[in-house]
Amino acid sequence: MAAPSLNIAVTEKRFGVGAPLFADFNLSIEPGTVVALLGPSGIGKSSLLRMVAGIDRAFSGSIAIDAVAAAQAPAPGFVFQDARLLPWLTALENVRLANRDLDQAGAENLLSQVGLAGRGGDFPHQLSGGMQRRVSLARALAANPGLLVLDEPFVSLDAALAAEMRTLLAETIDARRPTVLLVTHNVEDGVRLADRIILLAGRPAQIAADVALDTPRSERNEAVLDAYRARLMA
Amino acid sequence: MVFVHRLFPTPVMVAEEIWALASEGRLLSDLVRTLVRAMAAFALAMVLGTALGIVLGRQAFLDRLFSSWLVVGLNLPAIVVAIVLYIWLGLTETALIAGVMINKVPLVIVTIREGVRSFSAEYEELGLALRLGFRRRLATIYWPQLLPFVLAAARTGLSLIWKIVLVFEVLGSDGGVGYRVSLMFQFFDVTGILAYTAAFIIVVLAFEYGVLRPLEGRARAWRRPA
Repeated sequence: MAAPSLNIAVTEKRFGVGAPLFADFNLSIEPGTVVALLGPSGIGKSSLLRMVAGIDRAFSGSIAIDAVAAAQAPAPGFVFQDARLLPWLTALENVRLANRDLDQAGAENLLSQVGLAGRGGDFPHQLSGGMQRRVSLARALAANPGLLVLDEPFVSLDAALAAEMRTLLAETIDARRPTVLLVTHNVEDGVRLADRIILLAGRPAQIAADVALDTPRSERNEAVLDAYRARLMA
Repeated sequence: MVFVHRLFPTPVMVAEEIWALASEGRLLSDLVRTLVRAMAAFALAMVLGTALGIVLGRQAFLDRLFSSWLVVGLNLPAIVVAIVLYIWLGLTETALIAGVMINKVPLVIVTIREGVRSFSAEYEELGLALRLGFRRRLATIYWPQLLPFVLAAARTGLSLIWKIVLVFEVLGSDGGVGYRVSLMFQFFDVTGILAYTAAFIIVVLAFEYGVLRPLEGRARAWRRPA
């Protein structure tokens, strides 16, 4: 599945009374770009992701994936804050749940790509937390390898596991070149993974900064990362 | 001594009585009649109760509207239901099965309603994110969450139905375990009563270990061992 473009033009999104979450919010994302949405908790990052995924349709405006309304477009590969595997399905069945056309060999191949070869028959409770996250990534790739929507995928993981998952995700992105929308509150995730970082601020949320990270991921050494961190902190 | 033996038969005497009654064929035909009634009432109560429980679990308005009636149904004396139905419908199989079912349905509704209320919002969101159609959501998301509640309703319901069927058979029936026990009661035939009771308990245990537990085992196979 080819990486699609993403055009977000939300006229208004609100929850109850008070100021809207988004008002006249516009963002365009080129195919094959990794965009990180950074901002404080409660600003609407996850809400925007749910709108892009077609889960939340209660807003005015439009979100188009390759010119098709998000709700009608093929499901993106969604990685939630938790692994969110169905505990009564095996790892293999959880992956196949996302794509009924995917055969057993295809699902096993995806699991081996995330380092879980031979663990397809295990139920979630038989896997460690990190392994469950890997299954979740494999499921997202099964759903739509062209568009990944990641909602704080490293939150609640310890530092070592988060670094391991970040490396796995970077390898996956470099291998498949999908369009990625990554929500995070951690600058480190953005500078290591993204091609472009959008900083959100205020209510309604506005784009406070739009930073392009031109150095390819694989060539980002500590000096480059420090420079990016400094730009974002400025 | 004879008096003592009549009212307090030994297990051997009861076993011999079971064998004798089974050899005559009467015990088996009574057991079959009772089982058929219990199973018919059980199946109807489970189907109707599950459907209504799902509706009440999903529709708060209907739940508020009927929750008081549900409490009435839960506490309605079984004997009253039996008598009223026997008067209205006569001493028929329909009245007996309907009476047992009416006593059981509220319990199933309440159990299933609680199951539906406990559905995970996160899994619902997952279903939406993966664009799962209703049938796939039903099979992979809703049913596995509901199954423990269905099994709980089946277990509590069966224990209730076994008892109620016998009471209803005592009240108005021309066969079955309850009917035969009521006849034996009139002759103070304690050996016969215990023989029928023991045979009935053997059937219940066979159902428990032959059907319910294997079903539960399959339904809980994915759970972390305690």
